[in-house]
Amino acid sequence: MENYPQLVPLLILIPAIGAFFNLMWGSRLREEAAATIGIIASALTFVIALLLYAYLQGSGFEAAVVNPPFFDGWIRLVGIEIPWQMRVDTLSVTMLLFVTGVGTLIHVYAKGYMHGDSRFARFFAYLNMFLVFMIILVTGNNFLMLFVGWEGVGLCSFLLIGFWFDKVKGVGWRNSNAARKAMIVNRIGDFGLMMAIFLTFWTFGTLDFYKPGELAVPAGAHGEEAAHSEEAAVAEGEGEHAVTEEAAVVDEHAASDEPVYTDNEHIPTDQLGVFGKAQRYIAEELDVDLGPFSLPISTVITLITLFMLLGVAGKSAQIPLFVWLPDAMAGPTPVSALIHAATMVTSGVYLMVRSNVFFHEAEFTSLIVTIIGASTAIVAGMIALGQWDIKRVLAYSTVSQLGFMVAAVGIGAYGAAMFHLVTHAFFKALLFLGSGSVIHGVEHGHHLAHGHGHGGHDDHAHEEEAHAGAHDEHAHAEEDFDPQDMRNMGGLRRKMPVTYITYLIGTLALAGIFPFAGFWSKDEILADSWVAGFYDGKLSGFIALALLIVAAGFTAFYMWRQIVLVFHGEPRTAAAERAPESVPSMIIPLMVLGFFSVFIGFMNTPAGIGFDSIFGAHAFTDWLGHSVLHAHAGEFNVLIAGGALTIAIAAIFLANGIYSRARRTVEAGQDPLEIRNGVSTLWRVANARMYWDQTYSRFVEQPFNRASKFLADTLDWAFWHDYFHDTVLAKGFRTMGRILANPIDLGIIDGIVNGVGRLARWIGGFLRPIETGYVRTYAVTLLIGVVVVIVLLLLPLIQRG
Amino acid sequence: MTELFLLVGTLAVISAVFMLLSDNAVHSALFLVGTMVAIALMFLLLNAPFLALIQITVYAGAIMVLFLFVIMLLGAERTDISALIGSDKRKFRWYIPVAAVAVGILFFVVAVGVYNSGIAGRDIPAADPLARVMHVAQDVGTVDIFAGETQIADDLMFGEASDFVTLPAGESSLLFTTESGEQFTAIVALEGNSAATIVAHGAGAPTLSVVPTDLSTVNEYRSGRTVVFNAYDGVDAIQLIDIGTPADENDDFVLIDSVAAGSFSEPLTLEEEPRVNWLFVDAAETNDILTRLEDYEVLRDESTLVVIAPAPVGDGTTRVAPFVTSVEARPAFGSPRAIGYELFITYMLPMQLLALLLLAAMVGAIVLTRREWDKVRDKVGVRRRVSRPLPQVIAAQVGDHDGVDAPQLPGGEGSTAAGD
Amino acid sequence: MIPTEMAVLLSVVLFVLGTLGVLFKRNAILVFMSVELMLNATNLALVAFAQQWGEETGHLFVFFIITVAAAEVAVGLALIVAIFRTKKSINIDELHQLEG
Repeated sequence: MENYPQLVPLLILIPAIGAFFNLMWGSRLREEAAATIGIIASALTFVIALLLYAYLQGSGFEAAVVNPPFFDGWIRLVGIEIPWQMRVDTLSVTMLLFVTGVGTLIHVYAKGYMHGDSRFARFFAYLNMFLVFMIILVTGNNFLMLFVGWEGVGLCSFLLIGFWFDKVKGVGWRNSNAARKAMIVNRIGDFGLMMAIFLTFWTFGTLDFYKPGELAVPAGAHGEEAAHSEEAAVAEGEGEHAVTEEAAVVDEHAASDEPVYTDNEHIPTDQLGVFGKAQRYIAEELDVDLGPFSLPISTVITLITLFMLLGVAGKSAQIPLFVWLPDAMAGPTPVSALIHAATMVTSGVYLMVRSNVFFHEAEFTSLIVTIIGASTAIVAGMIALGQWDIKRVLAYSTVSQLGFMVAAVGIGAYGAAMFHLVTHAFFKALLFLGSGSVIHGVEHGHHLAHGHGHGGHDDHAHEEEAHAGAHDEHAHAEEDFDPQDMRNMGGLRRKMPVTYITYLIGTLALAGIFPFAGFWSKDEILADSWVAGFYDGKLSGFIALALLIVAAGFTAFYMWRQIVLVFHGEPRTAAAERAPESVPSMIIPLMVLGFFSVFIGFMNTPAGIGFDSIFGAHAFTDWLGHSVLHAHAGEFNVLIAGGALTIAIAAIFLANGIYSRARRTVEAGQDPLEIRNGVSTLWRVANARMYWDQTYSRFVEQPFNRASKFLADTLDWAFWHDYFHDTVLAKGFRTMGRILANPIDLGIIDGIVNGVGRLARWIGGFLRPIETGYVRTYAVTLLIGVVVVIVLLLLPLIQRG
Repeated sequence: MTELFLLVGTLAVISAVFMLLSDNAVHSALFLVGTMVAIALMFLLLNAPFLALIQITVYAGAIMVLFLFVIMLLGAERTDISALIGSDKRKFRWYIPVAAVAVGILFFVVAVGVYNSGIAGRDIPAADPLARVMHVAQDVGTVDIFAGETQIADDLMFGEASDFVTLPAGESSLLFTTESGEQFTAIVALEGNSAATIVAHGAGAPTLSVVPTDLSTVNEYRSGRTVVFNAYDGVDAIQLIDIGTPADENDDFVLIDSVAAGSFSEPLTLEEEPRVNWLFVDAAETNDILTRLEDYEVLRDESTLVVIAPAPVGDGTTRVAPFVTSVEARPAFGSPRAIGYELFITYMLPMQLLALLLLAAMVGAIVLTRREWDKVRDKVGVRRRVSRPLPQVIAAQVGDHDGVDAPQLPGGEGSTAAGD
Repeated sequence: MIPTEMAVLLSVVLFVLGTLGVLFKRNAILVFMSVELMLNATNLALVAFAQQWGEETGHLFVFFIITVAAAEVAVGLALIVAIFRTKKSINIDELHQLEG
């Protein structure tokens, strides 16, 4: 058992190998083989995650830090040491379990969903690759590994969202646009996270969360454990007392002569990880030297968390960077389920929970976080009310629920946030997969109704064309059919019963109806916000409570609206009439997820209301508390719970009332709220997605595009290239060359050279007559010369005489 | 002598004039031969017998014969072209006054110059004397000898003579440095134009005696010159007796009667003889044999100096012994041997170069006079045509090629084409 | 000893005579012979000076001059013979093909 952490590197290796295999040779395999490789890789990771869970249960929830073999030291420079270490603690195992579990189910689902696609194997390769990066993200023991995973999942989401980039008729453009939008908006968030990492490194000199040997949660940090640790300490000292599990463990340690540390006091500050150092710095009220000035540590932490918030807003789709997630529905439904419901978008929340030490300290940031989370929840909820596309509703629902989690983190309810994260993963994935099943069924029904026998791949084309948002021109009038539009559905509960049942379960869970999962997790958030507001007096608590309750109401409303429109009533189109139930490979994951959606909530029931016998009261928070310092169990507040439940049920009845009777309105293509005075404007605004995209487009994208176009066309091309290079440089150069060539080179230089020749010739001609050819002449000349020389030589002698 | 010279000179001039005036080329050649012979005679009168010989042999005998050969070969004895100043070319008429003036000037200048140069009475400037040192000083051992800056001898042992060095005329101071560092100084007086051997003898500080060495040629046939110097002061005078070979008995011949101590004898001219036995006896008592010189070879053309001096024997005593040093006498001025010495020692290189020159001339003469074969003429072949005239080449490179095929930019509308 | 100036004077006279011959004779061979005369004149002067200074160097130089004269005569007469073969004449006035 102790060796299970050694399996952690396999968590990365196995899906990586699967991805590699599918990338390299997947196109040559049959669909079965490629899918099997992906599914088995994913399943193995789930098995390993289970083993790690078992390990943690057995080892007293001690965190294990694993250094992968053969990878000794990742970054090792002077002053910077960032090892590749993987952390196995309750938080990361929690994430691992549902990532790999839900991931495996979605792998199975995708086998049926992507049947017939031309790049089938590649899809599984991408899914496995996504798993690799997500695992790196959650098991990293330092911020840099988290960032690697962060970026990696961003890349994979790009690849997967734009998977159908090669569709014809302009649809492929939509897909790649959506993929690019996701990438770019995420990038803005990544900038924030990078700045946070830089600041963290500058302040603390390291990026490790907790160094090996450091305790994330010292004994006695949480109220319950204080008793245990006291007992443990006493047991250590005197050896008598009621033995609890903890004490037994401690005794074992004491017996085996290992030093048992209950806190980190023995470790010097510079050997601590980021959070340990942060706590000590906060206690000592250090100042951080930022070069030209220095700031107190609390301000620095506020800055760090603000930057992190930016990253979270990008990755977890909060205001103002949530605009990518609805567009990301362009991708195949398994992608939406996996990435945008269950896993990737939750990495922002994971980041914040992991950095709970920072957020606990930074009050100001927490307030901002709460405001952003709560307002996101409400805004997204409102937008979801006005959407006709089945997946769009779910997308905005995701954004809204993420807002819940983020707001929970803002008020300090880290345990509640994680709890809601886990439950949301299950029922949102369920809802997405269910919607995929519905869409498939409707498409099939459409083909059956209109006598087309197209293969499965066309369904996807329809899905994409429809989902582009606007309705494109299609070749045939029949192609004008959008299988995702809820107005084309109806009465599917009889046609697709299993889908209906599971979808219903998911809806009830999402709406927060007792005893489904969402009730417990949503309620805990609300309860914690009540506590934060009324007991701790935090402003964020009030804000969260108010907004979140309203958002919960919205959630219930729009989800029941969806149920009514899609499943209840009578089929509104022929397609809906003929819609068959989906294939088992799609149904079975639905059922599994449905099961979990019912029962997963019981793992964190508050104490004292009679459900303790199932898992133990707030078992999840306890479990989480071993990794998260500030995780605390929420208390059951009857008022809040009852109030939220009432509001949700009321919303459901309201929606039911409105929409069950609005059959004709809906058949005409309008929403009943659309035509009702007073709310019609609101509804239309919601339908137009509150003009977020248009605003961005108008105020950000277009100016940017104009600016870059200006730079490129005018500045670079027209001026620099055309004018400067062509006219000034090139022409000038050529002119100069011509000047040098003709008048200078030919005229002057050649003239000089030729002139010299001519001069020589003239001199020669002038002197030629001297050469008469007669020996006599030469002799006379010689004689004269000789006489002259001799006279000169003998001159002194002559003069003497 | 001078009259003879004048006579011969006149003959030479007359011969030359006739050479010029003669119509017949053969006559001219023969007159030239006469001039050359006269010049050879003059060489004899000027103490250049060897050159006179060469003049006759080479010049008159070979070169002029060659001339005659060629004249005969070419039939050039015709008169029309051999006459002086009979030219039918008008253009050469102006040479006459020019030549006359030029040669007049030449003659005049040289004559006046020669007479004014004072060559007439000038004597050969006195040459610096040559001197060497003969070391028979008893007590100094091996010495280094310096005369001022000049080193005469380095590690000169007892009984040896240094080489000749040139010393300034007049008095010079000689510095003897022994092995042990002792220094002795002595003064000698030397005359210019002479060669002398300075004998350093005596006990203690050496005494220097100057013995004139006659390096001039030994005129007697196969003879050498010997001088004896007596450096032994044990007796008043020494006598040199030639006892001949053991074969002829009772044939003692007194060569030198007496040489006083510290002085030298007259030069004795002796025939060369391979084996000579000499006795050096006390002049007063001729039976007292001081020392011998046995199996000594007299060489011809050598100037020998025999010094009789007491020589230190290993155990501190001295014994009288003869020490001989000889130097080759110079050959006679102008003799073939003298010329040969100069030629082969000082001017070896020019002589070899001249030999090469002669060889080249010989080969050249042969090459020049051989008959041309006709096949050489066919080598001159077709004239090569120039590929393209130059102006055309230049025009092709520079010319009107603007705007031809300039590269087009992508995206045609915004770009100005490169052509102008 | 012969007075040196007398010999030099004689040498000059002969030299001048040779010069006149070079200038005014049209027969190439006769010109050549005049050149030989000039050389002999210089030889005479050299020997006179050698006798005055007592150096054999003058004799040596005469030796060299004679040698060179011999070589020169050989080559020159060969040239004349060659010219005669082509031009059938040794009148130097007819030999002006190398004119400019």
